[in-house]
Amino acid sequence: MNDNVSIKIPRVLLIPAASVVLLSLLPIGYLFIRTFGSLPDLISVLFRLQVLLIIIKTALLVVTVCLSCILIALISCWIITRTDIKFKPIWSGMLPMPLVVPSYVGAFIIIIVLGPKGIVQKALEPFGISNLPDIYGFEGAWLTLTFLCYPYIFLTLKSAMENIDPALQEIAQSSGYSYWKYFLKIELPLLRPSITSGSMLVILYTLSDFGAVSLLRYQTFTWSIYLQYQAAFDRTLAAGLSLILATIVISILYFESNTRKNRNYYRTNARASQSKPLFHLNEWQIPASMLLGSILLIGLIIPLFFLVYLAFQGFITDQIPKNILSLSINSLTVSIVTAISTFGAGSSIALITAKYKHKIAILLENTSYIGFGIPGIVIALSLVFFGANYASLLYQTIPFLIFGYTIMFMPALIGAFKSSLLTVNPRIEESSKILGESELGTFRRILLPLTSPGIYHGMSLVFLLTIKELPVTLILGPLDFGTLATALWNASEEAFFLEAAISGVLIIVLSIIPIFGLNKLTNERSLWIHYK
Amino acid sequence: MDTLQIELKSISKRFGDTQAVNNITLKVKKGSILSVVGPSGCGKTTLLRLIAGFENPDQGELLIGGTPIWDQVNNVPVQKRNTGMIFQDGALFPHLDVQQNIGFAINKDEGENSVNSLIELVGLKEKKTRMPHELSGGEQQRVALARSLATNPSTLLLDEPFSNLDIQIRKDIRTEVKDILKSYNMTAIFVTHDQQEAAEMGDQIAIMKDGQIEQIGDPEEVYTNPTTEFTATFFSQANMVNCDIDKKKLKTFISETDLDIDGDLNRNMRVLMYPHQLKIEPSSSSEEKNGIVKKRIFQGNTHGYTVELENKEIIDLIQIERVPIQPGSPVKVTYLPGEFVICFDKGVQKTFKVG
Repeated sequence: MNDNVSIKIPRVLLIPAASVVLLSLLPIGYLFIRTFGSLPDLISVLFRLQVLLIIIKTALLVVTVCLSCILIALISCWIITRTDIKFKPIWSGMLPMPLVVPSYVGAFIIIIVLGPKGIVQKALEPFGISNLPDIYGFEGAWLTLTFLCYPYIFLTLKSAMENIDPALQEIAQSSGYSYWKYFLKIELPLLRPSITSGSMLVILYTLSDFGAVSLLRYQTFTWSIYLQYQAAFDRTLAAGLSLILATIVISILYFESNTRKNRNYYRTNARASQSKPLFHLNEWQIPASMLLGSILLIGLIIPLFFLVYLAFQGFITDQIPKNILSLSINSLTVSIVTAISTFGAGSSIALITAKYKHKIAILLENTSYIGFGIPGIVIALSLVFFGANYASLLYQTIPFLIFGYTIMFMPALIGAFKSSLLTVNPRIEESSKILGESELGTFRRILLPLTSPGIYHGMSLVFLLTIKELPVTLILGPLDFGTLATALWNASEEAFFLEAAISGVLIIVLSIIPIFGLNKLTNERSLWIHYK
Repeated sequence: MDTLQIELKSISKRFGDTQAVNNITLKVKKGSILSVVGPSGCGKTTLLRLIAGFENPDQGELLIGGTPIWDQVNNVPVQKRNTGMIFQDGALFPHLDVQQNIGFAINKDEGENSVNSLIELVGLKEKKTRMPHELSGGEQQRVALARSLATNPSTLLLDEPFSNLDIQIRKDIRTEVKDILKSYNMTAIFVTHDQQEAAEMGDQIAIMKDGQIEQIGDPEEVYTNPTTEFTATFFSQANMVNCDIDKKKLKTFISETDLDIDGDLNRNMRVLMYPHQLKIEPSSSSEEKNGIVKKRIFQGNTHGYTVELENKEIIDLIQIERVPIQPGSPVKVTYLPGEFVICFDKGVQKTFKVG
């Protein structure tokens, strides 16, 4: 039936949702208006060799990271889905895991291991090798981001490869195609949409990344914006660069949403995936495992091992940062408060988009997603401009920092809350209303308890994102305020590697907390969630 | 006694290109049950949702208990209409147990007694602490009924409440529900796609097609006197057979009947033949036979036959006969009209006395 198409969105929901969206667009809108307001300045600042270099450097990094991620993902997905490699579930479970490593942790480990006076160099010194190729700059940034980002393509590509109808291959080979001709002419075109959507995420991640490029001193947009913001009295260049970056990201998001509309046409048949013909690896079993193993080694095992090892070293040599307790409390507090505030801000938007198919609902949802796509550094800078001019009382206070986090991470909550709202039969809500319960009462007594696992899931996601967040915290945080993430970044900038490692381990330990609650909650509720 | 409880005046509702409800006017007396029956997509569920307040009509007037509920000026919200609704899938609150579901709308202090008596009314005393997913479909609908009675609604709306249940349970539960509704003197609108269920549940029955009400009335009356061909075939499950009326004789491929009409008539029409008015015999001689059995359905104490007549018309009939006739056999079908025959002249119903 045409559920709710004819019913207007109640004002109880529409007013808060619209205000939240407007409020979250305010800073970025202000950035655009302000920067365009001084167009001559902007032009004179932007048409410089320096800016051209930033564009070239960013583009180089984005393209190379994206291509190497595609290569890694294609090879590893092909091995997992098309051969009889052993321990398949372990490989497919482990290979996406580098996703959880924050980029500044990855960069920090690269510096420790491959940097000047790093672990590798020290090991090689007895052999008379005293100079390694420079890890700072492009090489380091490329290496770090490649091994952090390939999981985005791996995940989309793997499910696409599993869903390709094996009959296609049989038909192609019975019409005389060799396997490689079949793969290039038939399978690869079918996989293109999923490679594209995974690549979009890689591109967005690389464009937005601040942690890795700043520690590895590679001048992309984000680090240049930060340097300009820190050093220059005139912030027009920082604003101009932010504007260009925001425009690039918004165009990518727009392009992405357009390709997503067409994606259904490409969807292939999911049946008969159990009878897929597999390549027998035989004597290639070990080399193939070693290949996958080395990806995991670089992306996950080495970083975690050295992080824990260095933290342990720091611990026994008593190099624990003095304020480690207050840093941990800060990290926990802002993350918890942000999780709550995203729920307060995002729930009305989630309710509207889940329940009404209005044009307004779609518009609200799409605009609320802008905060997610735009790099943190741009959000932070626009809030600085806005705060310094219009909210000087709030500027560089914790509430203002939380506001910044909320704009950025609200979409994660909206997504999780919305999908759990969609599992609630609309007739259940109607039953409550016809029994006399108000809109608000129905929310409190019916929707809230039924969707609490989804809400919890969304809030823990926000918690994770916040505890790992770096650039916004650096720029918007009060002067004497620090979190574990900023402590790690500062310590690593100043080469206090053992201190940095301790913060890194604590970030990972604290990130695990919400997972326990989630399991408990889903176990209790799973019984009746399945009843529909 | 005969006060009106529900009154719809020229109610219409359109979804995009579909006219879901088209200019419907109807009245339901207090304490009476109206069954609304029609094929899926005829707009019967939308009609209920308009009365409940989940959708707003495009035009018309809606009154409950004499009070305007929806018109150009008024729009009473769902919560204030004092109606109850039972959905096809029960829509119980999955996180609440039986007594919490039933007591959902009842004030805690005063409510315990009424919750307990409702639990007893629907026979779930032993299961009052069960969760919805631990109940059978029939029990879930009993809880839904008790829950909707808890608010003392003036009107109950039932949207195909039994269609997800097994056939055996369905028959018992509908008698039970009807008895409960009658004991509460409840005004109810009962929507279904099942003709038998509609006839059994309703004091009145409305046949719905394409957003409009084809016929409304007493179930027996609608069955014996369908005013449209749709009602005749859909509700009365009758055959429509081509006929010629020649002076005072009604001629079909299988029969000739004398009619008692003033003056002479000369027309092509369609005549309505109920399945039980047709008789079927095996026929060995080719002279006698006028059709071939296409299908036979064993229905317990009767057999249902589908016969293709030699002029290619298809008819359904029922026979109480011990020896079944096999599909493919040649048969002779005869027509035994009652006191009246009902014909349709280009959609207009005409009744003739058999003379």
